[in-house]
Amino acid sequence: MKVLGLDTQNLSALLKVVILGLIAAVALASRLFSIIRFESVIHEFDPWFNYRTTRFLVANGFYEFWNWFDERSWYPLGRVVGGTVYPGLMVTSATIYNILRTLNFTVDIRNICVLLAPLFSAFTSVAAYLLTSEIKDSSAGLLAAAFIGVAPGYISRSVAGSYDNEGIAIFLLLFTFYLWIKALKEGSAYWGALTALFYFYMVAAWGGYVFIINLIPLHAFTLILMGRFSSRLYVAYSSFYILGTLMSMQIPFVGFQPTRTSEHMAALGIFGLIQIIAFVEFARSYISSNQAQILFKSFVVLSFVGMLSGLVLLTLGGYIAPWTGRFYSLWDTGYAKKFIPIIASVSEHQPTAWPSFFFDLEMLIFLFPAGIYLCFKELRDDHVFLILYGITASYFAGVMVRLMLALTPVVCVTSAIAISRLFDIYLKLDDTDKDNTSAKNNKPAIEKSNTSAKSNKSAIEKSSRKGDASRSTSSSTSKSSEKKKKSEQFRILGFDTRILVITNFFFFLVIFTWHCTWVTSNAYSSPSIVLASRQADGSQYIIDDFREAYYWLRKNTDYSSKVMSWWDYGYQIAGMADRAVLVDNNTWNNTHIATVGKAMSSSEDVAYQIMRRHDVDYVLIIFGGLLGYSGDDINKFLWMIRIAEGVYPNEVREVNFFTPRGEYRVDDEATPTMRNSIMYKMSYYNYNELFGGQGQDRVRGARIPADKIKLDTLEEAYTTENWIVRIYKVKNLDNIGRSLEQAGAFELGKKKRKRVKRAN
Amino acid sequence: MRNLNILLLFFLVILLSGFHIESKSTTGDRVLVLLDKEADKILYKKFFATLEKENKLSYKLPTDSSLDLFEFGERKYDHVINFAPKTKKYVDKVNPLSLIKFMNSGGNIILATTSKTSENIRDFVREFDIEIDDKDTFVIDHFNYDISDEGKHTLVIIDNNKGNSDDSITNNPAILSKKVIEGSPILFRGIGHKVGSSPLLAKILWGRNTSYSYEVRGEDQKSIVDQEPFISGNNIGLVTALQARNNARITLVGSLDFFSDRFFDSPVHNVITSEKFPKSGNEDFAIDLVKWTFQKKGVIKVTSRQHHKEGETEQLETYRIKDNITYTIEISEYANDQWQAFNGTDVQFEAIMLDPYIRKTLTPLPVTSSPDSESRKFITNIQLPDVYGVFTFRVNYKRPGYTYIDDKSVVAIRPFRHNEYPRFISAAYPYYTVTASMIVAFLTFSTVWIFNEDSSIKNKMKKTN
Repeated sequence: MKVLGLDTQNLSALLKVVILGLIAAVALASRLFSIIRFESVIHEFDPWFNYRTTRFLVANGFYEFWNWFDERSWYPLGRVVGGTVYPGLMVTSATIYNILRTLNFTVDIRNICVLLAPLFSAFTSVAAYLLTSEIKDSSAGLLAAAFIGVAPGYISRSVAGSYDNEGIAIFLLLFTFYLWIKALKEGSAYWGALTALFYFYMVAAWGGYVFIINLIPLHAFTLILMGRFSSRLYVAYSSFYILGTLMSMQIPFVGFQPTRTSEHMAALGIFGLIQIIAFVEFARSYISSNQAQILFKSFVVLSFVGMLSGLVLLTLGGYIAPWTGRFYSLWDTGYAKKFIPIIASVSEHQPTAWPSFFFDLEMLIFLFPAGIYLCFKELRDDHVFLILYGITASYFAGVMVRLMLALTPVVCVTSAIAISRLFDIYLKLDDTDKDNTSAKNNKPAIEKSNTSAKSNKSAIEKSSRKGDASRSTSSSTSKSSEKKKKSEQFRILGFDTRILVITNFFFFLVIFTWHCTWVTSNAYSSPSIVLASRQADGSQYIIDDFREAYYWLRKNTDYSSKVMSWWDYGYQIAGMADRAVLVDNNTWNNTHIATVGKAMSSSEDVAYQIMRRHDVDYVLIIFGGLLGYSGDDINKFLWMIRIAEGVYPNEVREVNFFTPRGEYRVDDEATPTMRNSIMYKMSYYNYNELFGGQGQDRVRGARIPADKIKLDTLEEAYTTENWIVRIYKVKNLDNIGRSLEQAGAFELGKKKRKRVKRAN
Repeated sequence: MRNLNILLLFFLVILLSGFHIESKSTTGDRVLVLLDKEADKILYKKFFATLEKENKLSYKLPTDSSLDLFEFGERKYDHVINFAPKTKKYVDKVNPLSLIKFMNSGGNIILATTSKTSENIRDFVREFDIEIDDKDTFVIDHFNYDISDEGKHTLVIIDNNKGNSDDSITNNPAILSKKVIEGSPILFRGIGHKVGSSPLLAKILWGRNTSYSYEVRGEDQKSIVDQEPFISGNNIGLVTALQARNNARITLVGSLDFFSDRFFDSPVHNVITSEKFPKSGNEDFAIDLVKWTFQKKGVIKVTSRQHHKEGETEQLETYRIKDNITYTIEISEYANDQWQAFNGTDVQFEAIMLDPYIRKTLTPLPVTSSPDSESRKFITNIQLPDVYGVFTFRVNYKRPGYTYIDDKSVVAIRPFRHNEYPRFISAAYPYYTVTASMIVAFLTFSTVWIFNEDSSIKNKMKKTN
């Protein structure tokens, strides 16, 4: 049978390419909502830093970037950007930019940055295809590619404009795993080296590389425990670990961490263990006595225990850094709240609420266990990997919202396996008339497994003695292939049954795509620097206060002005307003952030001292009370207080901000400390005047106290259209040496208190 | 030819007149004089005559409704002499609020008070942390009064500086010249004030140990001191000055008579010690006071500032940690009606990032050979700290009597670049050796492996084929 002059094999290859191409196109296109709705603009917070550094890289070249000391952030400490950044993202876009330049496509660097994440999500779907085809077959691969292409869990971090590390990291994660599976299957150093290479790229791109460097050793360790140690594992792991570690150490931000920190110790330990086991296996092939076997085994166990205790000793001795707080918070979700409020204060570090699993993955979350079950049924080496990945990732996703991202790929892959298995059974149209394509699809796979089993056997035979474990392995593989044959015999013959199931699942898939598109367009495509709302007549109303304020700063303040704001807005101020900031989203110095928190939560006198000391010219706050924008500074205020209290426990006390009944209030019942804090004053300054009476805070549903708020050390410099951003200027010291409070009173016509007259 | 001569003459005149400009203030010469009554002008004829040589004086009553310190938002006058302490109600344009605004935009004020000082003036000086004693009080000294006193001992004599602990006059050369500090005693009749703790205040003349401030009743009534005086002894401020942060100056003189022709010309005869002087020191003192207040002396400024790496000349915005740099600042002082080299020796340099990391006194360099050199260089060599960050190089020179210098330049101090570290470390030689030997061993092993035919492998290959 020939179509278009191609035989079926070529035709199916062509179809695969076309389908994959279409999936990639869909993956890219569905991420463009934000550009169409709003404009080609960088989103959120971190992307602004990435964008700023990319521009710097493009303008000044790689070495300047490498050595960049940014004196305009973290004033006056400055930040060594080159050594504290994962440069993969910036270098990627700069490379694309330069390639396009040499081809005479003069594309703006901003557009490259905006479109980088959608582009890489197209690559991700290809990587998912490769990984799944390696584990099951190409039809499952195509399904996995389609799933990952539109799964909201991934889209949430990769829409156009979301120029963040995760955008390229998920592709690298999946591709590295694909290469690892490949290397393990082939047992070749070549694939192992390729794994290492992409691992290096991953290290350069995202801090989440730690997941890889722990998951792969875990996989290796599990295989060893299952008695599946083989020379393939040895070659793959050794080549990956050595090359990967050496390469990862070339990133300045990582440096010597792979030899110094607990996060990397598992990989090192497994590397040592695998060497010992390899040596034992080698020695075993020459010695046959039973006593020697026991000796070897105890040697392996002893060395493992020895390494573990060595690790503990080194950690206690301070040679190896213990786990960082961020990792502790993965085990104990209450840990960060207690000890490191700065980590807990980030919304994406909160534990995941259960509806968001359904929201982000829809039906895939139900198919995920089915896929895992199918993996257990076959339980080849790569299935073990998938199971481990699934278990660890689902745990992490439950602990931190942000790690939903790491879970999404494995959910897509396993559900693709489940669905494709279902279709394998129900879509076999005619078993009497052997359909060529399916037969051909299945045959090579079976042959392959046969050959691999054969080669396994021969390998085992060659080594004169073999442990019980390896015997059981071979038997299990043969068993699984038998099972496979059996299950192929179970055919659903009834046409009606098939129709029922297939229609159902077809319906599910349609709903899934529907849901994904809806979520993408409604939840994940807002740039968050531009807000949109609906007016009464249904037309869109754009709230552009952030850019309005940043633009005002850019145009109306001195270039050397320093702006104090809560750290959330640091990157945006640096990127959009181009002004020096005290703290930003790179939260490397907790004390500095706590100082800003202290300034915000203190009375004017104390705050003024801090602001003078840090040369602050302007203070920027976010106030949502008028519009009902709930992500404002008063709502974040408790975190500022907590963080400040962590460093200045005697000067800032969280208790003082709560009413005696333990409520956090801004109305008449607000505590004096709350009302005296400059954050409160700045938020509600002149707010009552807007209402001509008592102001109404629409976020907290509270009426603001009627008495006028007096600010002596700050003066209102700018307030945006919807009052979301308010900028205050820090006053200079009084010219004739009064306190600013006295000066303010004098301006209002109040006279200083006279001394009591002498009685005559 | 004649034309040319005229032209030359013309230029000569311009040149001469250029040189001849007398004691011009560094801020300006438009002076507003406020008087209680037009007629008061005659009382201070001599004083005003001296002023008029160099300034343009306009005399106004504080009740004049056309009075305004500002015109189109700009200052209309450079200095104000307020000789109208008795007027109760000033027009709004010269009320305390406007006067402080006037100072905030750089204007200077001389204010004289009497025992009849109105509440208006008291409110004004209270803003400077000065409290004038109650109405009808006088500074009284039963041990130092002039022979022309009328029996209440209110015409007190403030002696010149003898270097005693009892000195009642500042010896700050920035404010008063040597001639005044060591010259004739000063006659004073008026009200005392209490000087607050504001760091911007500078006492110029204060009461002697034996003086006190108390109410003086009419001729017939005996005044009995039955209460603790509000101020007494050294705590009585007689002449006090405040230099605002923008260098605007205000001088409060407790006695309006102090400026009068009568006091200027009066001889001094201390009744108790019977010391005699042919002429009081008031005139010289007043002239110095005006000079200082009108920014004709005690004015210093930074003319240039530079920092660069040692051995280079280019000023950079970013230095590296532990760089050796040279910091130079040039300061000139306005004295004797011209800018000249500043003679201070205690100018300090600071490198600050939140806290000062370096604080060092700058070395003054001798003024270069040319006599018309207008400034002096202060120089220092420093090694920058081993801390990166944004540093402020600051010269914060604030001395009483002198205008403030607060010169800041912000530089970034960066860590080492990747290629500024030593390429080879001697401590690492064992590792280099290991690496090299490993490379050699690997190559040797591979060569041997490749070229050494292993029969067993061959056999295996045959088998599989």
